[in-house]
Amino acid sequence: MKRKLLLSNCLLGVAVLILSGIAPAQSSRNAAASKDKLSTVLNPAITEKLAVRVPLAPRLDTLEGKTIYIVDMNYEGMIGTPVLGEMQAWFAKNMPSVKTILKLKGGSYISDDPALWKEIAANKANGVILGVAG
Amino acid sequence: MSRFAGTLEKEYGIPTVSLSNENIVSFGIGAHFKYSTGMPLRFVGVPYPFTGLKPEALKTYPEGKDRVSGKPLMQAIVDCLTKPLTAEEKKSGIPPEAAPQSKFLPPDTEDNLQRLFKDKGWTDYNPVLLPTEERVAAMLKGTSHKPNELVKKDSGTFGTIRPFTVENVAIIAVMAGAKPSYLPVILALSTQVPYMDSTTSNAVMVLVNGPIRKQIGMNSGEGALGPVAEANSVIGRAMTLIHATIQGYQEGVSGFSSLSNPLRYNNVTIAEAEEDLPEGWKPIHVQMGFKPEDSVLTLFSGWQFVNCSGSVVEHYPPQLLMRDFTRVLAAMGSATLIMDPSVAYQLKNTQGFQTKEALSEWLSKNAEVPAGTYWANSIASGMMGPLGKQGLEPYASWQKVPSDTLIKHLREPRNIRTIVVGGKTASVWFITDFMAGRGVSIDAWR
Repeated sequence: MKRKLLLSNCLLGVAVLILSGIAPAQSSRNAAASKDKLSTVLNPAITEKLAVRVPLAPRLDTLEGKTIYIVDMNYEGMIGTPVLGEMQAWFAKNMPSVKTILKLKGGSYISDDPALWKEIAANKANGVILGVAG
Repeated sequence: MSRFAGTLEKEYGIPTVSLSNENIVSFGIGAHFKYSTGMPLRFVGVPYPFTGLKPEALKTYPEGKDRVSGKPLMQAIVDCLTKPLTAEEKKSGIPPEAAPQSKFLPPDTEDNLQRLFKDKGWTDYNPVLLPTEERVAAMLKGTSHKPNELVKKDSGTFGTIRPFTVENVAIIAVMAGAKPSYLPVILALSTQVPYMDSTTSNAVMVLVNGPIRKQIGMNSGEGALGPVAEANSVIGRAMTLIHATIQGYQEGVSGFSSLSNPLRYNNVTIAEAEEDLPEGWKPIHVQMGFKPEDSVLTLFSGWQFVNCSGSVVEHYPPQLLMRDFTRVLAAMGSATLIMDPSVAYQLKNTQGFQTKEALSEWLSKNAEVPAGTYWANSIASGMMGPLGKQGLEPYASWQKVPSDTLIKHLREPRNIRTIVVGGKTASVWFITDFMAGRGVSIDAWR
C-alpha cells in the first residue's frame, strides 16, 4: 500500500515537472511573439498651422544723425533697468550724432501701450530698441 | 515683447530690435515666429538674470557679447537696425500648408511605439496605453460629439495655432488610461488650453463639481489629494498629456520653467465633497452661478500649496492660523483654502462662519502682510507696480508706506475660495495662492 502511494506520488511529481517545464517554454514563446507583434496606433501629434508671414520694416542705411527710441518694458515694474541707461550713454560716447530718447512703457511688461507707439511714430523715430524681457 | 516689436515694424514701419533674456529670444525667433507673429523679428540676447542685480553689475551688460550673434552687444544692436533685410525677412503672405499629420503611425512593436511616444514628448515618461483604432473608437462612445469636431484652434503656448478635434482628445484619454465615462471631463479640460505656464514655476489645479463626480467614481473623501483613486489619477494625468501633446509644451522650446512644480505630476485633480458641506456652505460651482445638478470643471492657477501641519487646536482658532499663513502667498490677491469637512464644520459651528463667503470676507479684512514683503514678490512688482506708479489705488499708497507697514493684501473677498474635501480623519487644511478661473460645463461634452 505504502509502495503504491509512493509510486503515485512519484508519477505526480514527474507530471508536475514535465508540465512546469513545458509551460514556461510556451509562455516565453508567446511573450516573444507578442513582443514582436506589430501594432497600428493613431497618431497623437497635432498639425500646427504656420502664421501668415509679415515682412520686417526696411532697415536704415546708417544710424548717424538718426533718432532712436530706447523703450524700457518695465520688466521689474518698480524701476527702469539701468542697462538701457547705459546703452544711451554708449551712444552718446560712441555715436554722438545719434539722438536717443529713453522712455518707460506704461503698464506692466505684458500690457500694450498704443499711445507710446503712436508718439514714437509721430516724433519720426527712425528706430526702436525694446528691452528688457525675461 | 514680440507683440510690441511687431506693431512697430508692421503698423509704423519702424525698424526695431528687441533686447531679451536668452530664453525669450529662442521662443521669439522659434515657435512664436512660426505659429503666431509670422515675423522673423530681430533680437539680441543678454545673460540671465538681469533682475535682482546691483546697477553696477547691470551696467557691464552693454560691454558684453550678444548671446544671439556672438558680436559685441552694441554692435549687434546697430546691425539689427541697419543690416539690409534678407530674403527670408522680406517674405509675406500665406505660407505653404504644413504637411498634415498622418492619422496613423507606421506599424511597429509595442516597445518601439512606447519609446517613440516618449521620444516625441507625448507622455509623462510613464508607459501609456497605446491608442489603437479600437480603443479610440471605444473612448469616443463617451461623448455624443463627432470625432472630427473642432474643439479649439489657438491651443498652443501664448495662443499659437494648433487646432485639435474631439478625436485628438480621445487619443489622449486612451493614452492616459481613461474610461469612456471620463471623456466629457477630459474634453472640458482640453477647452482650457493653453494652460498657464510661467518661468516662475507655477502649477494648475483641476476641480470637478456636480453629479459627474459620483458617476465616474472620483474620490472626494479619504486620501482625496493623493494617488488613491483611478478617476482622479487618470484625469490629472490626461491634463499633463494634453499640455504636452495638444498644447505642445516642451521645456526649453515653448516653455522655460526654472524649477517647474511637483504639483504638475497630477495637477491636484480633486472633486469637492459637496455632500459633506455644512448647511449654508455652497459648492464652488453653485457659488459661480451654476445649478447644483450641473457638472462643472474649474481650473485654478497658482504657485504655493501650504499644509497647516497638524490638526485644528482648541487654543488658536483655525481662521487665525489661516490668516497668519496668508503671508507666504504670492502677491496676486488670491487665496484658495482646501479643507477637510471637519474643519468646515468647526468654522461654522464653533467660529460662526455661516457661509464660505463669510470666511472670505473675514480673511480679506484681517489678512495682512508687510508692504516690503508684498513688493519683494516680482509678480506683484511686475504687474501691480506699474499700476501704482500710474496712481491706481491701493498700489500707489502701498508703494509710499514704510516697508514694515502692514497692508491688507487680499483685497477682494471673491478671490478667496474654499474647497471642502477629505475623509474626516483629521481636521487639516491647506492654504494656497491659487486663483479660480471660470467654471466650464462638463455636461456640454457628454
